[in-house]
Amino acid sequence: MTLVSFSFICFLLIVLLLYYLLPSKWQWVILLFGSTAFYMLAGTPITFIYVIISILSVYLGTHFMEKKPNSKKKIYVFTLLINILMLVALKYTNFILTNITAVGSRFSDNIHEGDWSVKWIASLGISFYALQMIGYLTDCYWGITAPQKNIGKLALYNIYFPQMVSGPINKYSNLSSSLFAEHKFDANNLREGGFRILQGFFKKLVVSEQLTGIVDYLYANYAEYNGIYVWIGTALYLLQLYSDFSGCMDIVLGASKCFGIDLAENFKAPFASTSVQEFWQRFHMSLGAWLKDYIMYPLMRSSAFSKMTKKLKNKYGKKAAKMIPTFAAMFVVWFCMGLWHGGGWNFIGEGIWFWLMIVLGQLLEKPLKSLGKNLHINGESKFMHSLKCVGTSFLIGIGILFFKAVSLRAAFTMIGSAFNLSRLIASVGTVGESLSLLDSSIGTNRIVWAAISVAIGLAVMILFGLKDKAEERFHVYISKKNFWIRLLVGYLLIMSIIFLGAYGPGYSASEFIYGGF
Amino acid sequence: MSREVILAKVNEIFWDVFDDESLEITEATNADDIEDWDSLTHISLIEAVESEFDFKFAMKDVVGMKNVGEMIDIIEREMA
Repeated sequence: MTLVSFSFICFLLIVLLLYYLLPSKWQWVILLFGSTAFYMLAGTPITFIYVIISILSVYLGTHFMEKKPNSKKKIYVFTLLINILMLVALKYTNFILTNITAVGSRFSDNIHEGDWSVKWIASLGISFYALQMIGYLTDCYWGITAPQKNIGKLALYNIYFPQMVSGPINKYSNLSSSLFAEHKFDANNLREGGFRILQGFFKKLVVSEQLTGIVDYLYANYAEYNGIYVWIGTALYLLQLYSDFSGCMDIVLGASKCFGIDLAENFKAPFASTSVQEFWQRFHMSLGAWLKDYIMYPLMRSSAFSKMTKKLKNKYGKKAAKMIPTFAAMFVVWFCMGLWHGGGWNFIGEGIWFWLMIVLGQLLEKPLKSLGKNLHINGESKFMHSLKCVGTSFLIGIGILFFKAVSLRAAFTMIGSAFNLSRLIASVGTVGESLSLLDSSIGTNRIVWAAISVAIGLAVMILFGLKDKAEERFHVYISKKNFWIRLLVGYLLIMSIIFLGAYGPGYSASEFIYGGF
Repeated sequence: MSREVILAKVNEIFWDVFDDESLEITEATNADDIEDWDSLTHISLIEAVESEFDFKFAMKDVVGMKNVGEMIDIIEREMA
């Protein structure tokens, strides 16, 4: 069962019915049972054992940290290691083995790259729930949160079904009170939640799914489709990634809203950003917040970093002592960000690219401002603002090219051809011929249909995006309108999902890009 | 040291860190109110307050602090 499927909507309705019909003191228990059932239906049931190990270890760890304050640090590190090792073993074993065999093959003829591999199945949503559990454990260690005494409630925080597969990553202190509270039936919550779910289905089926075939084809056949196609493929992929992930979040947050539970927002009009740094403050915000609290701050406050700062200050002065440790900590954060997306050097390449862009952005900020002043360019004008937004999207595009490319080498080849003028000119001439070839490879007239759907979808998404930026999101805005307007908007959304949406085999859309992590 | 005096000193630290002497902070001011208050300037603020008032913030405070008022609570507690 995926989030974009008829079965998920039926499942949600059943849990909602029980949630509001049974006594409200049992609401959290219903969510716990519902979430366990969801795992069994959507994941591989046997892998639930890893989830149980994680919950048990963190429950016992936080319990003993409280009971034995003298051994608090040892217990914290031990519990942390269990959870990190489980994440590394389930997600990165094959990446580690591939690298070992790649190095080994240089020294021995008996070893070939990729010789060793394992077929372990990771538990559903491990990249998300592992971070939540590590965050909760650390908050208990720091004394920000009191340990949850009820293991059932801790389990619900870990596996709450709307958010388990794709996030957002919620802080325990922000979610717990609402997650375990008793919620009275409120028609407005259902309205807002319902509209948000429809919005998510729209983004996913009308835009993202329509683009999947074309983007996948262009990236898989990058050797043939070079030059201008790299630009086309990457622009489409940027749109696909955003519509897919933000659509997924609309369904997740909408489903949770129906229970009266607000989850952390993950997007805030990211394409309105004027720098790469700002983009990451608006895109996948809950991951950024997690990395800031649990990697960036502890690193910058560590004794090793203090020592480094002191040494640099004595040797190179105040400015360098501030900048170098900051950039070093950011490098670790962005390396982790890349690695979190998957075990592959292309993912790490993506992380390092964004790090480089943010560092350059900071170093060049002042010189560029004074250059603008000298040239009498108003940096705050609407035109310059738009130019900065487009430039930011361009830099983000290069980053996600690494993310989508089949390998790090493929990414460099693609970027090379995209900036090679003769390749670029040669490829422009073949666009018409290639489009018809592409059309026959992914299905007759698919391109025309996809183009119509995506054009309409994009226009509607810009409307959603404008509302996102204006603080009151589209679903909240529509929910406040009168019955007839709500009916009309609901009808239009449902009809466009049915007629413009792309459906995979079995009428269940393929999984969300971020669900794969 | 009274809260008003601490607030005034903290305000000066804000001017220095954000390089903007027009900033007028109150106890309710938080990261959403000041555009440049991101994770990096947050650490700079913490370090500047530490060197001004001569104490170390706990990780709990670095991560958990929600606004200027909470920062002043911690400074008051440390100075007591």
